[in-house]
Formats: sequence, C-alpha cells, structure tokens
Amino acid sequence: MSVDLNEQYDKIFRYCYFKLRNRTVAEDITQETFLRFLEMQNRGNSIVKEMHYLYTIAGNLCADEFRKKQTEELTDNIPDDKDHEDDILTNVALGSAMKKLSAEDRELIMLRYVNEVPVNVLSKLYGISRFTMSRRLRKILSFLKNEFNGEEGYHEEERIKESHSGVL
Amino acid sequence: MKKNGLKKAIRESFEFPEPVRKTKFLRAQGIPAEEEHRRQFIPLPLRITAAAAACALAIGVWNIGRQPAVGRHDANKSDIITSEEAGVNDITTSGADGVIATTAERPGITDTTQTTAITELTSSASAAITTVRDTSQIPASAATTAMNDISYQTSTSASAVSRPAVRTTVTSAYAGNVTTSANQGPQNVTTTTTIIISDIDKEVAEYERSIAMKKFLASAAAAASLVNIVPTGVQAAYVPPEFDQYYLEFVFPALESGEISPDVNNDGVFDRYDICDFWAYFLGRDTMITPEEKEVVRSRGDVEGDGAVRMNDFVVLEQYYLYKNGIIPEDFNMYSYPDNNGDITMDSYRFTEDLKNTAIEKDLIYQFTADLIEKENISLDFNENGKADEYDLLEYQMYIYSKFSDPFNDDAAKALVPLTDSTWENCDALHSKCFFDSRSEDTLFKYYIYNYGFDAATVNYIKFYDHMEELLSAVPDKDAANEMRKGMVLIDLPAAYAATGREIALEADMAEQDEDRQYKLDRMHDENYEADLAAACEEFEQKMLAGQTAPPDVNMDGTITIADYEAVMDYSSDLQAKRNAYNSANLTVSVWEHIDTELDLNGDGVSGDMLDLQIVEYIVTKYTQTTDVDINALLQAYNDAHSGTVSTDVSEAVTAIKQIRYLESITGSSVKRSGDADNNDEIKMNDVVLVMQSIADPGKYQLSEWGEFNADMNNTGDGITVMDALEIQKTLLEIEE
Repeated sequence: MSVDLNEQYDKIFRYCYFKLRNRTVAEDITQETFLRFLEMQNRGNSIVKEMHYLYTIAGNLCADEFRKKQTEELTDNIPDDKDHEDDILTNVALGSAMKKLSAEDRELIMLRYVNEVPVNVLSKLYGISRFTMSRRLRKILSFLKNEFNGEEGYHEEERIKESHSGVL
Repeated sequence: MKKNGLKKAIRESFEFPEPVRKTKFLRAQGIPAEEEHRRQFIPLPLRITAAAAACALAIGVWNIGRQPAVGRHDANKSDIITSEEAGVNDITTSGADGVIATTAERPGITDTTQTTAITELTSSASAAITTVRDTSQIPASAATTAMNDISYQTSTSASAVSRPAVRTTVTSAYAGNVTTSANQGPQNVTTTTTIIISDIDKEVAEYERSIAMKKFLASAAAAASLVNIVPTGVQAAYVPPEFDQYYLEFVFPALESGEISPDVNNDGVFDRYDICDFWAYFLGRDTMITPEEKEVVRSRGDVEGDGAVRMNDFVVLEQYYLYKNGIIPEDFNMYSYPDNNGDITMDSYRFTEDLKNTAIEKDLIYQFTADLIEKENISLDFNENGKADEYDLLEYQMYIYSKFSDPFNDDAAKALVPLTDSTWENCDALHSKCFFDSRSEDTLFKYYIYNYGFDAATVNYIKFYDHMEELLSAVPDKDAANEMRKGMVLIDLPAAYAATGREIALEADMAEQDEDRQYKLDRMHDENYEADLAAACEEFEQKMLAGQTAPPDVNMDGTITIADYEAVMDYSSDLQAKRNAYNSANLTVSVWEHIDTELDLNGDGVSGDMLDLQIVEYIVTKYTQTTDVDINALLQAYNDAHSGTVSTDVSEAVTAIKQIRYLESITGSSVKRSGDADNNDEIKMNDVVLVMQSIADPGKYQLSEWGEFNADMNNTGDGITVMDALEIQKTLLEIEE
C-alpha cells in the first residue's frame, strides 16, 4: 500500500515550513520533494518506506536550502528579533516549554505528534533504534509535562505571594 | 496533565499556514489517479458486503440503546407542568423524577413522525443534549437543553433516528440547573415555554451515558466488522524480503552480464565508491565528487537503460551492490568515504546512513546478524546464567545505551549500568562485529522472537523492573546503584523496552497468539442483555453499599472518579481496535491487565466484559454525582477491612453506613442486607450465633459497624433483634417468605 500523497503533501509542507520558516520556499521544497519522489517510480512499496523516502528527501533539500542561505551575501533585510516559534505555536505555555528543548527534539515532537510519523520511520530518519526513539520521545514528553507542572506551580506560588503582598 | 492530554495539546498547539499550490501541483502530477489505485486494495464487492453488514449490525445495536438501560425509569413522582400552545391541543411537559417529558397531541393526527437528534458524546464526555423536533406538528420547533457542567465537554451533532410515537422525551445529563426551552415556529406556535428544573435525576444521566456508550460501541462494532473480513497474514517464521522482481529478472542480470556497466565512475571496478559517487551526484554533494567525476557519472549513469539518468538509477545500483556483495561492515564505516580534501564530513556519515537504510529495508543487516550469531556460534546468554532469555536482551539494551552515552570511555559508560564485567564483555563481543548497526538492539530482539518464540510474558515490563532491581541490588556500592537507578540510562528503560518489544512483535506478525477478546463486547448482543444488566447493576450496587465488594477502582488510583469510567471506555476502544495491554491507546499495562483479568463485577467468570464495563459506568456516573454517599469512603472502608490488618479507625465505615442510611431515608427504600454479621464475606451459621450472642451478652459479644449493618435483615432500620437471626437462618436455608 502506498502513502496518501494528498495527506503527505500537507505534512511535508509543515515539516519544511517548520525547518525553514518561509512559506514560499517551504512550498517550493515540498514540490521538489514530491517531484523527486515521483521520479523514483518506486511507489507501491510499504508506507513506512515511502514515508522514509519523503522525509529523507525533504530533509536533505531543507538542509541544502539552509546551507544556501548561510552562504548568501548580506542584504539590506535586517532580521527582526521576532521569535518564529511563536508563529506556529499557539499555546503560550507549551511554546515556552518547547523553547527549552533542543532543535532536534522540537522537530521530533512536531514530526511525531503533529505529522504523526510512525516511530519506526522516525528511527530510520534519525539513525537510531526504535527502542531508543521510543525512550527519547517519552523523555521529551516527560520533560514537557514537568515544565507544564512547574509552570503551574510557579504561577500558583506567584499568586500566593501577590495576595500576601496585597495584604501587607 | 496526563501524557495523552499533553500529546493532544501539542497537536492542537501547532498552527501551520496552508500550502497554496497543492491542488494544482498534485493534479499536474496525476495524484488523483494514484489515490484511485490506492483505494482499490479491497475489492469493491467485498467492501459493499462489509458496509452492508456493518450498517445492519450498527442499526441492531442502536436499537438496543432505545430501551431504558437498566429498568429504573418507571417511577414518576415529580411535578407536572402543563402549558398550552396555539395549534396544538395538548402539550404536556412533565418532570418525572427528574425526567422531563414533553407530549404534544393534535386532533386527527395520530400517526406522526418525529425526529430526535441526539448529540453524541465524545469518549471522555459525559453529558448529552437532546433536541426534539416534531416535524409534523411543530414545523420549526426546537427544544434545547442547556446544561451547567463545567467538567465535561460535548461534541457536535450526531445522527437522527425516527420514532413512531408522538411522545418526546427531552433529557439532560448531570448536575446543575437545566433550562429547557421550546422555541416554536411561526405557523402553529405562539408561545415559548421555559421550564427550569433545579433537581435533575441522576438516572437520566446514566441512561444517556448508557445510550452513548452503546452507540459508540455500535459504530465501533461496525468498524471492527469491516476490519475482520480483511484477511490478515499469519507469519510464524522469518521470511526474508525480496528485491523487486523487475530488478531481479531484467536489471540485475543485465548488470551482471556486463550488458550495462555498473562502474559508473569508470575507475575499472564496481565497488562502494561507485555508489557513493552516484549518491553525491544526485544529492549535489559537491564536496564528495569532483566536476570531472560528475561528468563521468552523468554519461554512464543510465543503469536502467531508459535513456535518462534519474534517481531511480541510483536506487537500482545501490540495491544491486547490496544484492551482489551482501553486508560488508567496512561499507558502512564513514571513515571509508573522505571528501575531495581527504576529510571526513557529515556527508560521509550521511552516505553510510543512506546505504544502511537500504540494507535495513531489505533486511540484509538482520540476516547478517543472524548469520553471525549462528555461524560464529555467538551466545545470547550475555549474563552467563545458563539461559539465553529476554533478560539478556534487556542487559544488552543497557549496554547499548550506556555505550552510546559515553562512546569513548568504557569505564564511564560502565558506571551507568549495573552490568557485570563479563556481561559487558559478551555484549561488546557481539557489538564489535556489527558496530555499524546503530539499531542492533532492534535486530537482536527480532532475532530472539523469531528463534525463541514470543508470548506476552516476553515483554512483561514488571518483571524487567524486578530484574533491573536485582541487578542494582548486586552492585556493592549502594550510592552508585542509586545513581544508576536515577540515571538517564536506566530510568524508564523496562517500560520502554516492553512496549517497543511488543510493537516489533506485532509488526512481525508474532502477536497472533493474542487472545481474541471480541466475545467480551459481544455480550451486548445477548437476547436478555438489558435484563441481565439491570440485575447485575442492582446486585453489585447492593453488595457495594453493604461493604461486601469494593467500588470499582478501575485505574487503581485509590479513588473513584470519572477517570475510572474513562478507563473502561478506553479498554473497550482497545478491544474494538484489537489492541492489547502493550499497545493500548491510553491505558497503562497494569490498568489494562487489571480490567482484563480482575474486573469481574458480576461474578460470571469473565473479567472486563460488557456487563462489567457497564456496571462501572452505572456506579461511577451515579456516585460521582451524588453527595449523599461518599463512594471513596466506601472504598477506603472496604480496603481497610480487607487489607489483612485490623483498622483502628472505624470512622470511615461509620461515615459510609451513615450515608447509606441517609440515602435510604430519602429514597424510602432500603439496601438489602446480606446477613454477614461477622463481615467475613461468608454467610454461615456462625453469623446467626453471633447475632444471638450479641443480643444475649452485649458486654462480651459485639458486632462491628459493618456487621451490625449487614445483620439488620428483618425490618431493616429497627436495630438488631432475634428476628434478624431468624432471617439470616432463613437465608441460609433458602427459605423464602
């Protein structure tokens, strides 16, 4: 059975956008990914294999694009200080917790829980075993969970302090 | 926040822009045709048959839900509110014990159709809103029920059923004030009736829940029937994957015979550098290939012989290389692939990863490892206890994780895990021979289950925790052992090991040995299911209130909350989806197994069947919404009484009994007493003797709180009398009045 390309198009686009933060370039890369994928004429393989191909191609193209960006000459466009993470993360608490993760862990979370990439595909993409991938995901989730709890605890503490200071 | 909630939060928190050129692009690539091809995997006649069967089943199950759940809706005691509407002779709205019934009759029309749309519940939801519309008499009417329930969410609309009767029932669930308004259409209706009911019958909520659960199961059953008719392959032995038949028949022979040269870099030999150069050419890795080499590859790269050099040529050549040479460890060593300057770069690594992934897809690395173990007679008994088992694999995982934590310092890595020197060396001996396999623990697990068999016990994480603790206890330095226990290598390892192992086994089709638990859900198709359920609920409730059985703490967290109800819903979803304790969507292994093996509430010998699940539903929804009985006090009292130690504090039991008596006083009915005067879960002659002794010599013989409660069989509420002893005797002799 082959992957649903309609569905995967959106997901690959998200992945590219997540890495590049540029809508136009992300869509270009997505299309290039699909062109290369279709050019391989290798459809009809397992879904796992096809997803792996798609993400590998997309990842390589994004890496190339990123490298190209770094070697480009400086332009008049001065980068703003805006945190691009805020563009796609609507949940403030989650956003602040996510920012504490490494870039790779953030990407992993996005791929696993937003794009719903299976663990075995992720393990192939990252070159680690499924056991290790499962553990890594669990650890990231635990970290985020603790961050949430910490955040809530902190707010509660702040609230108590504030109420006391109000009385005093 | 639960992890599942967190996953959901993550999913919902990301907001990406939509691609704007998608449709045009996909259409240009002929993707709809692809989709058509994809959908044809299940033949059409089979799909139609399946859909028909599913619909029939769903309708059948749906109809079950139209009956009162457990026969508790016949008591009408509350207010009757009547209002008149223009164009409608009688519209009577009656609140019957909290049930609000609206009846509209019109002269000359007896055969009317009415459509009821019922808002479905989400799996975690717990309230229902019923909108009533009588299409023949009140064309544009709508009755809506608003509900105060801050704890739960309702989902959007569902489906509609037609009922032949004129009588309509507006029901709502859960506590709080309920406002029901009937907004009539312009043709026949001139007034709007608003009824405010402050006391809602909890039973209505239960009924709604019952309906919701059945409908959920009906749709799930339909889905399951679709799945069941698709044959699934049973693969007990390892079958190596094959290369593409086209390649094997046409391309590889042409390459083998020299008809097409595989030497794409034209250095006179077909080796790994041909693959590497081809890879660098396609991916534009200019540091790995010179312009001259690129030109050569471009001129010689048409491996498929179709007139163009494309990515597929590289794919074919890479596979041919692996097909011809098998696994040569050096091929996967990144130090074999320096760039044009002689440096080892990330591209060197990326190429080896690419080659490795292809080898893994063709299962060549697995075959290499299997051959290694068998031909070189490598023992999997890493810990040298005389038996190669799953504990050895667990210890191998510990080795791998610690090794990767500190790859260049074996002493530091060893300090992270409680492995003996000999275990470490044995693991090292195997790993050094398949160093390039960065997923060797997966490979080894797969080898193990193919050669040593697999059952659920293979991945029981509890025993892995025990084994880990055993290893830690053997570490002489207790502080070091504690550090290991808290360290990143060991923490969570047994659970992750068990869960992932299970996944690999399922993927290898080794999970066929799983018990098919569908029969547990099929109980609901029994002819007398409704009656059985009513009886089972009543019996369990009485026993629970009498302290003879524990309230259903399904998730084993020590309290009875709505989470217990959610747990049985999750369990039933897992059964529908053929999941088990190890790949459950939401439940932990221990909770899943508790429901599966220990939750036999109706005592029919089957744990976790539909009756048990609906008893939980009934009890949890009823008693978490009432303040009259503290179900958690009942649980605590039961646990105290059955913990094997005598509780010094009987206040919990007293509180529970007081609450039961209070409930009895307000409902006018009494909980049936068991006669178990000594509260040992058995009714025997000594209960009779104890009651008589307590009456004859109260200074010497006293009944416990629960004993006194249980023994008060005759004329319940009048205390312990000789008539109670007589009643217990009658129960023993099975004499009925």
